[in-house]
Amino acid sequence: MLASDVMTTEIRTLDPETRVRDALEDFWSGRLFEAPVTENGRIVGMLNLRHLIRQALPGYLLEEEMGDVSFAPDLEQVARRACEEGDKRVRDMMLTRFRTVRQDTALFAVATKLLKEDTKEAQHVAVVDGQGQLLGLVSEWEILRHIYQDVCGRD
Amino acid sequence: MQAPHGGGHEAAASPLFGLDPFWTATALFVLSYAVIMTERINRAVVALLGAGLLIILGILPQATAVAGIDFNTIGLLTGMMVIVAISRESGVFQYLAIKAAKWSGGRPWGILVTLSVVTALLSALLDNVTTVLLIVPVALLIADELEVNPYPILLALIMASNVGGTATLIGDPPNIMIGTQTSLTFNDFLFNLGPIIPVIFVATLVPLYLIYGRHMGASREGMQRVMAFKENEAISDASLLKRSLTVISLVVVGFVAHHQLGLQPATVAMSGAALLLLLYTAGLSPDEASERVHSVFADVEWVTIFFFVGLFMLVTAIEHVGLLDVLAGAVQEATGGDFFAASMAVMWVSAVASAVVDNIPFVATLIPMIKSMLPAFQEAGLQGAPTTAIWWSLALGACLGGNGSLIGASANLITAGFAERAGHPIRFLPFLLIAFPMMLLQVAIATVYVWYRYF
Repeated sequence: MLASDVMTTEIRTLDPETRVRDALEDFWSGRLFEAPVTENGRIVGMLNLRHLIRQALPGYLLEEEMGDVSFAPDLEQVARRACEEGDKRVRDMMLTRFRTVRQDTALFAVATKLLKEDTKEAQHVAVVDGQGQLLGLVSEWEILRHIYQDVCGRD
Repeated sequence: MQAPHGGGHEAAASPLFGLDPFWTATALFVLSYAVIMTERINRAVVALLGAGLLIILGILPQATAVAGIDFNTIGLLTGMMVIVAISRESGVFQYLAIKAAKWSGGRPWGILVTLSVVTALLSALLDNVTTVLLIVPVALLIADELEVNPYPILLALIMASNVGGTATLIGDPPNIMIGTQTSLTFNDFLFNLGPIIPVIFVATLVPLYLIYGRHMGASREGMQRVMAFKENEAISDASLLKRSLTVISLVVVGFVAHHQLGLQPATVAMSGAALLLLLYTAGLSPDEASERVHSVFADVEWVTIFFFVGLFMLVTAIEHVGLLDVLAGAVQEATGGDFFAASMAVMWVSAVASAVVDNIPFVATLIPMIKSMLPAFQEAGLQGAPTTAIWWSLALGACLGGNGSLIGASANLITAGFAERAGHPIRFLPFLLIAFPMMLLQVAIATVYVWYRYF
């Protein structure tokens, strides 16, 4: 099996110049957690909800030395910062580090990439051609659905 | 020039390409220090490369180089790093910081003072970098809850860590090196440096109050939020806390009694580290235990450790070729054999140098230099002062000097890194304008103390 066998091609792509607030409307209606950002069909980033939260949180909270912070009351600045992110452009808030594979990459290699490169926060692996044009997306969801629906024997 | 430590077939180095040992060692030493100061290449890499070259070129015999690595410093640092890496998992340091902040009733200036006191006390027992690593994130969170600018608090914490670290043998790298390379004990440091540190600490807070403290106000809601911190929740592992505190207490007792027990501080720290590792992994499966031990050792700052290793070999090289004796002679001549003048020169030059460059290489060079100068001073008469006066001068100058600029000590840079990531960058010049005069004030107090107490 190859990346192209399992990838989803029903993708809502975002324009980098859109306001984050507007781009997120698609997320609410489609229960999305992430969407690719493209420019002339080339993928340039991923807008990711977890990454938006990370940027709204003060950096020191995420430092390893800080440990568990459940001792503190709520920090009102966090919601305020998250609101401010809404007025920024997708280009300024998107993840620019994400995983890519080619359409003929073997499925096991795609799965390995998902588990290994965890410094890249994007949930999806982008399937691109030689020119960086976005062809589809793969995540755990696509991989296992393909395996269970098309590969495993049915009772 | 003949190497003064030459002799014996092992030490008889035969330089490659007929290089002159004295000038080659001097050139490589100066070059290494210069590159370390530029901070363009990792300092541990530079020190190890410089030392390696000296050995490969046949200037420094390998056996001499290895003998020059002070295991006491390395062992003490590594042991303490392991103990801290484990005990911080319990959340005890966050607990202390929150408790301190609440003692102040949530008022910003009060928080600045109580957090500084905790930082100073912890810095005296742990290394400064660790202390600020653990306290600064909590301080930033508190400042955010109060909605006040964290800058004055961070400034105070930097000063507190460097001042507090000056009080004990294990508090600051210069003291660790002085303590382990002379016969001075933990208690010698405590009794000789300890008394003046609270005075310097208070004298540091006064200008901070005049500059910032008077204007630090927070809303009632902000103060209530700080008072609503649940410090008990910060203790994430009560059983680990007990084990850590037990071992830390044993180690402190070991430090206080190390002289009577005939043990080096490194032995105390290393044994404490091993004991805590054992307690930390007790009852786990061999796989889990080994994973934990791995992750604890991964927390040791190996860059610092290997920097010391390289540095000790570099200093041994210039000692071996006789450069240190030449420098010591020059200092002796410049001070006219006057022990008080020499002590003061050591203190002030160390202070200013430590503000500008890393104080670790500076002190590593000065220690053997002072050792080789001492007999001559003793001959000329010490003006009624104990020989140790010059060591206390070095410790006070080098440790307090770290307050003089943002690059004066590692703790300063670590704090600046946190502040930057939190969106409150500490800039070099504004920091210098406040910190350098305050450092001069601190060293001035230290000067009066050394003069009054020892001369």
